[in-house]
Amino acid sequence: MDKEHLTAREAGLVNCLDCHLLAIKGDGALQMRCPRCGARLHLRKTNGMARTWALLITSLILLFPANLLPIMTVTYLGEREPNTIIEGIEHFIQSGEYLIALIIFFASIVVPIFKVVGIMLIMISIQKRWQTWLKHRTLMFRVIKFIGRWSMLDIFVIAVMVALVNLGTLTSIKPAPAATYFAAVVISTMLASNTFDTRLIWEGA
Amino acid sequence: MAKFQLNTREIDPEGLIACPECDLLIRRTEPGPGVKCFCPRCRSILFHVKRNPVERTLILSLTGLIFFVPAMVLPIMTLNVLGLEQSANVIQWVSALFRTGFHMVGIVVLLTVAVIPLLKLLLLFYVSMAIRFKVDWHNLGSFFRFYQRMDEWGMLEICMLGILISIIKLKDLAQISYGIGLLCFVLLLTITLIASVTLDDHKYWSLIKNVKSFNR
Repeated sequence: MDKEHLTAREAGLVNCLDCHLLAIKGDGALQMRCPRCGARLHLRKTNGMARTWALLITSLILLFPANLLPIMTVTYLGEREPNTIIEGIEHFIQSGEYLIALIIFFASIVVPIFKVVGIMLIMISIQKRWQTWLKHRTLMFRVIKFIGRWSMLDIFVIAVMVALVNLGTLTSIKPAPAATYFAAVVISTMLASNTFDTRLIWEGA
Repeated sequence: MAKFQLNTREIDPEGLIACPECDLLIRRTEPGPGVKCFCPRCRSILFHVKRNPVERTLILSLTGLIFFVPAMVLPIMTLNVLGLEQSANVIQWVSALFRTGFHMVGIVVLLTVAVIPLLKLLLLFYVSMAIRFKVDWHNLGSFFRFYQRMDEWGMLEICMLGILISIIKLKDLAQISYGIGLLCFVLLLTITLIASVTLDDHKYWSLIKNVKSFNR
């Protein structure tokens, strides 16, 4: 062997992702547990690719109702008006709150789509065994994982407004069906980035 | 850190660590406080050595726990429209979602803003106490692992941004006055953030092991 670097797998070691201990890999007949913290050890996350694909396809399907259906119903002085995410952003632009419009646009529309498409591209690149842009792909995944949770923003805005704006039948704000779909999108994309194993990008490098 | 050069057949796992993101083997070093180590191949952060990690985390988790209950039950803000007043705390946000029939959304909000932040502080306090006073309480490892896995599901800071956006959305519609609950909420989220940023998990895992062997 005359390679420049050695990975834990090539050296017969398993890295515990919970406590960072390196354990010597057994014969593989038994389920290995970390000698320090007791967590299950895997060379790579179990069925990483299949689980991540399943969760990403789920998110992709859920993205449609989340964006097309109304996310909340605003009743103001007796007038009922259901609002989708996009319409909510339009309201902010009309009232001149450009920064808020931008934040919601990013958190609710750009991030979820970027997340699903981004992880899919990384997965395709692994299945096609591309050996380039390794560092960039890892960095992209790191960014996706970091910003993913911020999509939950809209759900909290709804929670606050529904509780506060409840002034009889004339003026109230109520959640609408897309809220459930949207929360499900955020949760399934977060799970997808947890089941994905970035070490697969570096396999064979 | 130097790359691990393959020149020996005997590999001693004690003196090595592996990058969690690209599996590269790297020689373990013992740097001083404040040092951040990156993987030489994929640039992920391997570890970040902190000053007084246990004492700091212990104090922060205890302080966070003090602010937890007021942040949840005191009113965050009050809305006043033409003499009609409506105030709400975190628990009422959840019950409003349940009342309107959005149980799943209600459960998500309850978990990410109340249950998980509370569990995180309790687990951190429990593990830090055990490490600080060298007592081998039950399930230290499992509890700390549970903390690590739940970390990203506590969303107080995202919720805070949500509160700010709602304020801007509602300020034209009505008069808003802020409650003491908002202050407690801000303190709780700041403390939780500092606690998770200053947590030295590598140090904690080696200390958890020490506690176990110390009491044997």
